[in-house]
Amino acid sequence: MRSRLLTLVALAAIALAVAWPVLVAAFSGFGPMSASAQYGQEMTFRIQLPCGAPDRLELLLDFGDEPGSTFVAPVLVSGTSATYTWDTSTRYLTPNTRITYRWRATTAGSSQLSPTGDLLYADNRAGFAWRTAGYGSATVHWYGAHEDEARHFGELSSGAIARAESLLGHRLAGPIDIFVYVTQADFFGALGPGAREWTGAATYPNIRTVFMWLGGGPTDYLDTAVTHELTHVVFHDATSNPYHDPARWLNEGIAVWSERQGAAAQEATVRSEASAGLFAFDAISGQFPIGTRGSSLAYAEGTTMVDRIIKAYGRGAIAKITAAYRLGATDAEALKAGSGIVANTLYADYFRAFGAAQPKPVQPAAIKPSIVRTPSGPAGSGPLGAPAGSGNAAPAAPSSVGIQTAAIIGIVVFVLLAIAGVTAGLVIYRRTGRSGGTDG
Amino acid sequence: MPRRLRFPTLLRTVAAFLAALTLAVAIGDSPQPVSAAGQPLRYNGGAVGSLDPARIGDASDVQLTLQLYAGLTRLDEAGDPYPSLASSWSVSSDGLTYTFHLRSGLRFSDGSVLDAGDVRRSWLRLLDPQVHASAPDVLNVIVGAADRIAGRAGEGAVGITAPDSRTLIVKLRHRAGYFPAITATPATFVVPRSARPTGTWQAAGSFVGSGPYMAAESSTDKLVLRANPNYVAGAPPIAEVDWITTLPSDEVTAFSQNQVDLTGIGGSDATWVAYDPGLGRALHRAAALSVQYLGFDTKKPPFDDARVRRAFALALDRPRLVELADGPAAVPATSVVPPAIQPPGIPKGASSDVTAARRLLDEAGYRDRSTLGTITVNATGLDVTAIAATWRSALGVTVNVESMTFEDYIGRLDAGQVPQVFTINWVADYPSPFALYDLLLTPAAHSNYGRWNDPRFEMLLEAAAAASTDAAQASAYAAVEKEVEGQAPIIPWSYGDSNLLVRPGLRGLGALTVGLLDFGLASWDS
Repeated sequence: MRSRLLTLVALAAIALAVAWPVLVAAFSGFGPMSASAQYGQEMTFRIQLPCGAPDRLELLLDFGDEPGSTFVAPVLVSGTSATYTWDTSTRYLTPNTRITYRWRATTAGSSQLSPTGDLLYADNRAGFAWRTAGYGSATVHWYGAHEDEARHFGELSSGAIARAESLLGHRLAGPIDIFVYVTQADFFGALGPGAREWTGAATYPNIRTVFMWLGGGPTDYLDTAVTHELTHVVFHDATSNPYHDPARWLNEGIAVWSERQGAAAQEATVRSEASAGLFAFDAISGQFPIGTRGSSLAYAEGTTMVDRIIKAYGRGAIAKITAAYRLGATDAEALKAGSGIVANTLYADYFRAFGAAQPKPVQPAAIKPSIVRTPSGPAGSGPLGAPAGSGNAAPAAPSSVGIQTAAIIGIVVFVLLAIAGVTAGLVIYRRTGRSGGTDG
Repeated sequence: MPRRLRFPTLLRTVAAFLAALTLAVAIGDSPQPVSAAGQPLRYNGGAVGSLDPARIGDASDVQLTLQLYAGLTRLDEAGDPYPSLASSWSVSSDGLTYTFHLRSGLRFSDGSVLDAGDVRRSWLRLLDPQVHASAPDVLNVIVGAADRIAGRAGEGAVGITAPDSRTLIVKLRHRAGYFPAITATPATFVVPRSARPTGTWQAAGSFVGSGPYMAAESSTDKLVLRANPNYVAGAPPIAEVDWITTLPSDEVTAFSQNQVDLTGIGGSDATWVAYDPGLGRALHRAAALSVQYLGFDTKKPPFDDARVRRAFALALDRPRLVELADGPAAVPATSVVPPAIQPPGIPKGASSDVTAARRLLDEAGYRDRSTLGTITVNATGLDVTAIAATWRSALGVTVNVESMTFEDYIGRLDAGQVPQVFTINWVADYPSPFALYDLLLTPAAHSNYGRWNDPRFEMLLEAAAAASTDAAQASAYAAVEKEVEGQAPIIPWSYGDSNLLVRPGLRGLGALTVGLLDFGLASWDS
């Protein structure tokens, strides 16, 4: 009897095991899917689920062409369809970002992926009738009556890319888009929140896109800006690695140096600021300073350091530096790979050459202690073991039952003291502090 | 040390003393207000998540809750607990029973009475499984608390009683000298009787709390906090705190353009600000009580095998990778406990050993790495680009990296939908090593997302908590850390730092390492 029962149980288990994949497969697949975007407003992704909802539905988004982190958004199913909306008015996304999307349905722990779809998050704001022209690896995009300027940028691009490839010892890894904006509002509308006010052109190497603003400066500035921004893209390709972002001063320094293949103007800037104090190079390896003085000095220091490296160790030193970054070097290791000199020595020599003191951090102003009295904690109640006895503490507020009692006692004492004082002219002592507190 | 005053004449003495007595009697049990005037403090607090201490989701919520509510204790400027709603407490000789004596005359911000029953009610609410509080496990040390959170026990089983309106008795599972630090944790702060188990029951304007400030008004870019005249220590010196939720620009620009008085800034900005002649004076940097770590889902293959977890840990050269990712000033983690509260003598973590890592994977039956499948890492809490690349190259495994919005991610973790490898940036709830080990790694802990269950670890941790001498505690915590390192339920990655821009003249911000900015203690220099 017992063995028969076990047999039945075993058969039932086998039957369930056989049936389980069928149950899991009850989510039999995805229906049609689509995606659309309105710049600065939203991106919308839709999927039909004709055979019903899985236990869990997610939208998977990959941005740009580079491998990285896949963004996962849980999505609720409504009937036989699901929609996910990304509000880009609050969650900024750079225009010209290419998005690959898939849906993932999970039922009973088993996941199924939909085919992939593509969406270009284009700057399709009203009035932007974009036109394009190709120039080698670069495609320029413009709107309005500014074809000549845009085409001029395109014509400059191939030379700029070639010079950057030569300096950095690395070939451009893919095509580049250059978007030309007319007004400041249009331009900053593309850059999104957080763009700093002195920005006149910007590059997003991860999506291989350059944004230019025609009002960002005079023609010769814009010409050098094209070189500058395209050099950033080549630098990105030349140093790309999963471990470390190269020092920003070096990235910007190479880009500025490439504008005129030199650093004469920046040399003057550093000399004029040397007496007021320069930035340590480690201080400008990440974000650059805000404000005119800080930002121009940071650019100038980066450019003049690059100039010094090229003059002292040859143009090949820059290619060696970028090669070291590609292999996952730190800033110090990459500089040593290019120059043969320890980074700190390189820095010290630099500051000495400009007659500047070795930069030191500014001493912060002390934050004074609170004026609010807090009683100290009870003796023995620190983080080590519980106190064996009682731990009493004085009250925080200057009022408690203790005060009421003290007041009554005080009145009695006062009357007695006053009587005695009248007679004897006593000196009165008054305790104003509390145990563990400080006197206010 | 009492100040000695000498009164020159009897008449002046009489007049002054009478005046003082009159004030004392008039005030009675009400706290004496400190000056509550002057300019508002504009703090870049970020988005307001919740006004409910049971719903604390991140460090910003902790900061806000600290301003709006009070608990039995509070942390002073040095990070030590001092009596707040409690006036004193005593501890039984075995260290297992805490008796808190509350002050008289305590009131919520609307003037209603606050007593020991409210503390008990607030704590039981935090533990109530129907509430689904975000950090109930901070009270796990109380008898019956873990069972209550898990829904295995009723309120009566929890060791919290209020025999009268001014006495709260708490029974602990084991000795815990740091318990007064736990009661300074904002999650344990006292909520009004109008608190509901779930939903939004607090709102600016109708807010009722117990802390130094009340949520008074809310707009698109800020939450206005006004001084609470019924606060236990009296209204704080700064009458209004503008909790800025949205800045018009980046933090450094906003500070330099005088749009905010106090703001945290990123480490990459702090590096240059430190050298800036103007802003550098306002920059205050400190190690924080925070740690970034990776955790494994220890309940499912392959990470249910400690050899696999340890292999993934040993493959990472943390000092090297952390420096590459965050610069030479970044501090790689050697333990889940941040340095400021590390017990002395704690092991400093094993060095990277890729050969040993590969051998461990082989021994665990994954000589063919493809049998591991694709390892999914959720990188919402930490950039894992370098980590994933290292695992791929050193171990020959396939790694997929995903991320989510923080809200979705925490929702997933809270719901037990744990990725194979998850990432967290965790701030210690209170300044004790126990705050990390207990809340992140014990089976009853809500935040033990990897569901690690190691009885030996629990036994070692209880022994450490009960250790009564420095030497015993150091030795006990060393054993705890060794067990964690050997079993590798998590990989401590790096320690956080705090970078604050502080408007000159603002005082009383306390120990920045502790990281709790109690605006009730802050004031402007006149």
